[in-house]
Amino acid sequence: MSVLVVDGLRAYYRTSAFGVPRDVRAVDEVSFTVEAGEIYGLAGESSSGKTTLIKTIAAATQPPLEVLAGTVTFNFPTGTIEMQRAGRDTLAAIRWRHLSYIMQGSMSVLNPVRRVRHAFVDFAFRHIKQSMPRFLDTVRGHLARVQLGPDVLDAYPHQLSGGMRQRVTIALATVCRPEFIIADEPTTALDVVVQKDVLAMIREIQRELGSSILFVTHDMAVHANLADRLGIMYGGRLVEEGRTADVFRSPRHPYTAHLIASLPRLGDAAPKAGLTGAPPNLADPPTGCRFHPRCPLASDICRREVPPMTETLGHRVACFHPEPS
Amino acid sequence: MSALLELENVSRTYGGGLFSRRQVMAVNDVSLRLEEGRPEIFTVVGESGSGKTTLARMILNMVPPSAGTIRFQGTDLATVRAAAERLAFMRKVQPIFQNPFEAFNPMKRVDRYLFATARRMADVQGDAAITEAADAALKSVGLSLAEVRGRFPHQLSGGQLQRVAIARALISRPALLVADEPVSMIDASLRASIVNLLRELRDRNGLTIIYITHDLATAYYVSDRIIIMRRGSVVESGDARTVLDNPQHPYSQLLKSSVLSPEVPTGVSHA
Amino acid sequence: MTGYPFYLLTRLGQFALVVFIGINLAFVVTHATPIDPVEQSIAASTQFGSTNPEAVEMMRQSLKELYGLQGGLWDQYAAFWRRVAVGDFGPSLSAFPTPVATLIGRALPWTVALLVVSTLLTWVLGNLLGGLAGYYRRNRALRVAGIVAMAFHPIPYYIVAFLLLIVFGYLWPVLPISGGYIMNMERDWSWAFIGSLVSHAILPVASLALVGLGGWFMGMRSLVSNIVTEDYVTYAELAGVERRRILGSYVMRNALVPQVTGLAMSLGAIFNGAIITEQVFGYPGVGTLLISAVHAGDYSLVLGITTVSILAVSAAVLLIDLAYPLLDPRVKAR
Repeated sequence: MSVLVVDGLRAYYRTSAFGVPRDVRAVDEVSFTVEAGEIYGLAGESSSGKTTLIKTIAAATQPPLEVLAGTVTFNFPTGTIEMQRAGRDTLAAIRWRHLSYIMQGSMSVLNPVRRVRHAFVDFAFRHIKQSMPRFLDTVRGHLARVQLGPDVLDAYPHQLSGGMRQRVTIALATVCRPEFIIADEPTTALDVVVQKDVLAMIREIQRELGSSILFVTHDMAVHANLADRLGIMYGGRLVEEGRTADVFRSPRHPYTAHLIASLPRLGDAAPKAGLTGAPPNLADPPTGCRFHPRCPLASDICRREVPPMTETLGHRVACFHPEPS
Repeated sequence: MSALLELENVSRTYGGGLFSRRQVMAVNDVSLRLEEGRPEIFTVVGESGSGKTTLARMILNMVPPSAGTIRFQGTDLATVRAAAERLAFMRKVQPIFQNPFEAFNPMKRVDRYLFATARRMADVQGDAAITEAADAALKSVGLSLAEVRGRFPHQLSGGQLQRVAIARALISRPALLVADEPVSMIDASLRASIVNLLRELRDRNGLTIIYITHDLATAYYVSDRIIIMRRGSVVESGDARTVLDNPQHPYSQLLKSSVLSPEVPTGVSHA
Repeated sequence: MTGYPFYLLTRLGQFALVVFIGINLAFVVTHATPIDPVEQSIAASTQFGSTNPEAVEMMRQSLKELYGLQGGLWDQYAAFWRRVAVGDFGPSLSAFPTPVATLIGRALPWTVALLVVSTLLTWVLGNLLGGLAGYYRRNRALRVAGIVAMAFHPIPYYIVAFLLLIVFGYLWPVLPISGGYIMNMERDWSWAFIGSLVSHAILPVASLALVGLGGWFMGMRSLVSNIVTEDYVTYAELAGVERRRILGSYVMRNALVPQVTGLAMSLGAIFNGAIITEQVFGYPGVGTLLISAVHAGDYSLVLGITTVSILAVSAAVLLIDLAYPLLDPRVKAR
């Protein structure tokens, strides 16, 4: 059974300016699943809707963001939870115990005026049925896994380097051994040398705990090195999904193909063409396929109709003119 | 050949004032020379805290060096003090910043920036001539005035806005562009076209560009020469491809080995 | 040198500098006034009696000594600092020969008590309500509180004070409107005396609170509505941390940091406000004393009060500053 099932999810930012309603269609008809023990990579650039998608999955939607259709379902050992219907208490019970997060910006996710220890106590103590001293021992033991000494508990966030802070949040997100972790651009702000270490650490802990990770980043190189499966978002829709190796070796959607071809590679100075045009305005998205104004293969049907998702051997694509698999 | 830009043993320390405790050596004894009439993309690579941004700010004459001299077309930047001299210098050396959304005032139409720059920096007079100068600059970055006229920054994509920023920099016909992480905030699908634009400006407009980045892959793609900085000092320098293909300094090697390749590693089991 | 000792030393240095400059200014201003206390005293005491020139000259010498006005400006300046150091400002002119120090000593407790109580009350209440209003944006009662606070905030202080006087002194006369306690009451710290102190303080404190509350309320509310969008708050919410704990340990806790700075910065203005309050409510504090000293041209009393106020306000600011690193650990590292 899949740990996460996202089905037909549609989430818009609904506002009205001077009585004229305005929808920003940030997430439209997105469906995918994440299996137990896998790292599912979600790629997309700004305005692709990936940030809105994870907010919706985490049931952290606030007006003006509204879920109009679809469901987000988690299957945890303790039961099945439909996130959009779950009450406050149900959510509080699963948060951090079964579902945790590693957020972007290690700089700002820890309270700057409180010691690191308090974050562990606030986030995890209620789930780990231990006395406070035993709990702190557990935390210290867990910190060692991310190569941090016990003294970081008494440090303030600003006293730690960027890499150390991100390791603290990794420890924080994994100390309850959750089944599912959402990681939102966790390495984007880090230097390359540190980034490599942090990614290795996430991989190692994930293997040890057997958790599933929904790993969101715009950085395709990170996906190539980490994700088991990869979903590509464009203009609020999932346009392609498959095993990472398949997507990289034989991308089927023209957007993915271009994205991968244009990636700069060390040791490769051959000219690479940029994509023309700009990402779609989701308040007024193009008709049909949202990529058609920038697509070299676009035809009439692409302008008229939304391409349906088709699947071949676990490789899904939403395109009328896909590259052969 | 005469030098376009010459840095001689340039250092910059921060702190050490009356009430502060420790000095930080942001840039330590950096020398380099860019030739006049030989346009190139000169790349400064470094991680956060390497001093690459401080170096850029000194070259832009925004921060004076604590030691050493910087000469642009033979003139010591320390002597460029009067308003008229500063203006003349700014015409010749233009910056491009990391985040175009922060470089533009969100309440101001972007075409106004171009017009104001044409008027003040390039001494273009008359509405028709100003419009023409702005349009010409936009055309050289693959846009046109029609596309940006009356638009506010948030109505343009990051890539478009960065192009406008580059167009603005080109209006005064500079000899040197200093681009500090110009593509790190730009979406992947648009990044290649901005990087290509830098190459075009070198080849077509004969511009020398100092490209400051942490990204070795784009550095490899775009650079002629490269220096690698660590904690204020240059650890390795030379022809970009030579250095990056076969780095000698242990730190350069570490940097190179840390770059994630966008190829899916074979042999790793992807369940 | 690093950390707290360094911070402590810079703050102490700043304190000394501010006090030094302020007291010098007071010296310069009082010496630049056309009022000559010595001649005024002589005029006052020779108004009716004989005017023996020798006696007048003797009186002049001894008065000059009393007021520290002997010799040139530099001698006077040195004498002035000696007097400041031992807290002797000479005799008051208007209440001759009571020493200035005695007069200030009598008035100071009233002002300190009034200001400490009203400032703490205003600050705590304003921040608490403002924080709650910023966090629970949809709570109706807090919205109403916000409107009331905003309505009171722009009204000039003296209008609020007079409104209170009219309402509680005449229309519904339940509270005393003047003085610090019932006149001629024995100051024996009996319950009756304390009750009288409290009832006399209610209107002055309430007037200061009504006007001051709005500023803290609105400041805190906007701080909080910014802080709730900070990543560390979102992160704690995603972690399922209780809302009450998020409000206390993540939102209010962090918003207090700038609010404490704000408190330190507004102490001077709060002291100024007290001068009007004491006038309006006839409160026997330093403000009332200062106004009457100015009216009477009581040179030494004005100088004394100014010096003491500079010291008191600066010391209060210093205390807040010294406590600040406990609130914001990042200060130590700077």
